[in-house]
Amino acid sequence: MFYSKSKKARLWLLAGMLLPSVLVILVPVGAGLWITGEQSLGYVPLIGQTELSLDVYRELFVSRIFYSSLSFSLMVSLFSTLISAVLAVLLALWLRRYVNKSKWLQFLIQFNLPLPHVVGAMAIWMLLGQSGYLSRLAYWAGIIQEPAAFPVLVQDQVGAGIILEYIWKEVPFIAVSIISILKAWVLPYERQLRLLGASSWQRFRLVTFPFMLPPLLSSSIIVFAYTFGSFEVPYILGSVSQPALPILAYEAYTNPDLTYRPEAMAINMVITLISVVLVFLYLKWGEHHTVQQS
Amino acid sequence: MKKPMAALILWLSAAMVLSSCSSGSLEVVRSAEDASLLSGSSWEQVVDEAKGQQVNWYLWGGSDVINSYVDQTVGRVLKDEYGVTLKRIPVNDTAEAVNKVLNEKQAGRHEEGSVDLIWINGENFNTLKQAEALFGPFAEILPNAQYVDYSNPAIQKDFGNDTEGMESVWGSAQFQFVYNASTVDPDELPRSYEELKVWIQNNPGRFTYNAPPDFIGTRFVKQLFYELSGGYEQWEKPLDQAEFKKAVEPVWSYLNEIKPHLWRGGETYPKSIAELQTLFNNNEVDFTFVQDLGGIQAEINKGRMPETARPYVFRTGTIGDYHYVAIPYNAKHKAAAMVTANLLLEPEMQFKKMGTQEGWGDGLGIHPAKLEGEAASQYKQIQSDAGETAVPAEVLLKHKLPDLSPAYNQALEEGWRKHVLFQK
Repeated sequence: MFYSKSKKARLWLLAGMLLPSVLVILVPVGAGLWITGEQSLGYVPLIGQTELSLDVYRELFVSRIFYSSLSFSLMVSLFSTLISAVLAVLLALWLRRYVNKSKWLQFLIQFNLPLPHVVGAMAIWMLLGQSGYLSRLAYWAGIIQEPAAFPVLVQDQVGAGIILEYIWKEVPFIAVSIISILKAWVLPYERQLRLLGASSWQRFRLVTFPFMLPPLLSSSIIVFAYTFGSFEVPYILGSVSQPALPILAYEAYTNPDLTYRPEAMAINMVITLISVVLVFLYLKWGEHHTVQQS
Repeated sequence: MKKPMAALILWLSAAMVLSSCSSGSLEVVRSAEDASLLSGSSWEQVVDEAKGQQVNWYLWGGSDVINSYVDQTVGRVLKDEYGVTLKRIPVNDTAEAVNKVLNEKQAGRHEEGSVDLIWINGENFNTLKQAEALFGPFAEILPNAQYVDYSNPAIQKDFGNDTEGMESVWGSAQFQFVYNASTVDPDELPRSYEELKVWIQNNPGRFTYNAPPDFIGTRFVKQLFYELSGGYEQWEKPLDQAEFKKAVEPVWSYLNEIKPHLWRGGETYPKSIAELQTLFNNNEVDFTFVQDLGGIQAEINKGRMPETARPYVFRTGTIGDYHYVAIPYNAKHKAAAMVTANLLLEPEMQFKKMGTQEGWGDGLGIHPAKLEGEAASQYKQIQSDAGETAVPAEVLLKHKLPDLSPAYNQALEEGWRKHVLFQK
């Protein structure tokens, strides 16, 4: 069977072998999505609500707090992604020639990949908070007279702390995915161009950057989607008066009054929808990426 | 196929029984035995009957200190002096024990129930009371009830719900302000919300409160509501939206007036009491709040509060609440449960629970003024040991206000978000 000549048979076999894992992934996600969608339409039998309606969405889409949260989340994700991407490109270009030679360097740029975001968020909080280490250092050095004089970087209104955490975490992530491409594909082309007399800027523009672009875009979309839906970092580093969208959903969800449940679910549906759009974009770029390579 | 079907039928019948419970159509079965336990004529008889029994006590199991107090301190005395074996059954949430009792009631197990005693208060008590699944009134029959001040409305009412002797008080907690004596002159302490406002305006950036719906943050707003609306008494009735909306208006104006003078100009608030305590500890603000009646010495020892931190309460009062133990109507070992509830009120046991050696700094359930002889002097000793890091119990008691029912809680939390937090 395994080595069956028939393509059809092999495909069926493959599908059959994939089925369990597909089920494991799709069933909980599907069920979760179903329940979320259902509850967002006001279906909460726990409190005797069984009629479906779009009321919650109607309320949500005229709510000032919702739009303020949505735009805050989008801005934070956008800035985190853009800054991370630029820094990652610079880092990758600078480091690529050393990476193979130094195990330490390899370790250094990858060490924070397995660390959870919560750890990063706590670290940022302890480092940059108004009573954090930097503030204390500044106070000790006589630069500031009191903790309140230290710039507000954590739990601030524009999400500086959140963005910094994401940058810290995502720059290496994007950089690693670019470096792997640079190492594997670009070098021979660059050598060729150099032999043909191209300047370094020309080499970058004609070869290096175009090769970098697909992994850069796809990893950036992952970063954007992740930061947009992430809860723990804005929970720790965000301000209560400027909640990110997931925080808004969480607050509605933990309200002991169960009539707030549909609101939480409607917000989750909005987050899901935006993430799904991003995943489609990612798939598109991923395709593009493989086409270029082959 | 059989099992899911059976489960469905069980579930449906449970739902039916539940709905009939709440309408009160099921009568509590009260045996002659129960009647004799409740007659209160002879405590010796109760103690006699309890001998050799095992009391199954369901309680929240999330704290090692509390667990060891229950097992070691309480359990040992129960065994040695009363021949009662204590079996502590830890639950994550008191609702688990409540549901167990309700399930037994639905299943028609009116005797020999598996739960003998529950550590309980607030909504969970209300649920059992509504379902008529409680044994009692037993609280005032206990000999040690003599130490409890049952004329205190805060003990009689549990979150605005009359206890009717169906639960016996065990301990207490109360909102207190904490200030830093090295930065705030004790003579200039604000002792009402009115004075607090002046203080905040004179000391911009040095005060904040943790954001509701954090429990303690909500209490801070609730007390303000009491003061500005002319006392708690008028809010003991069910919530009337229109009336509440009018009365709460000054609360929002007050909080918005102080907002620009708060820490960081009120653009944000600490999310939890832990965050507020960190700000206080780092000298970013001059006040924080606590609930432990045993004082803040433990916090100071752990370095979580400065040496110069001191608790105090407002002249206008602060909200306190009591927590209790209750016996289900179908408990198998009611006598042993009563003996346990009684032992918990023993001054010695109360002191140990309050201390940080064997207990967890929990507040007393008994009234210190009702103590005599040895116990009274022991209490004085504890008070002087705590020194300045605890508010004297008499002072706390004198200023204690009852809490509001959950509907007000919700209305205040929602209102705060709408009228204060997101009001730019």
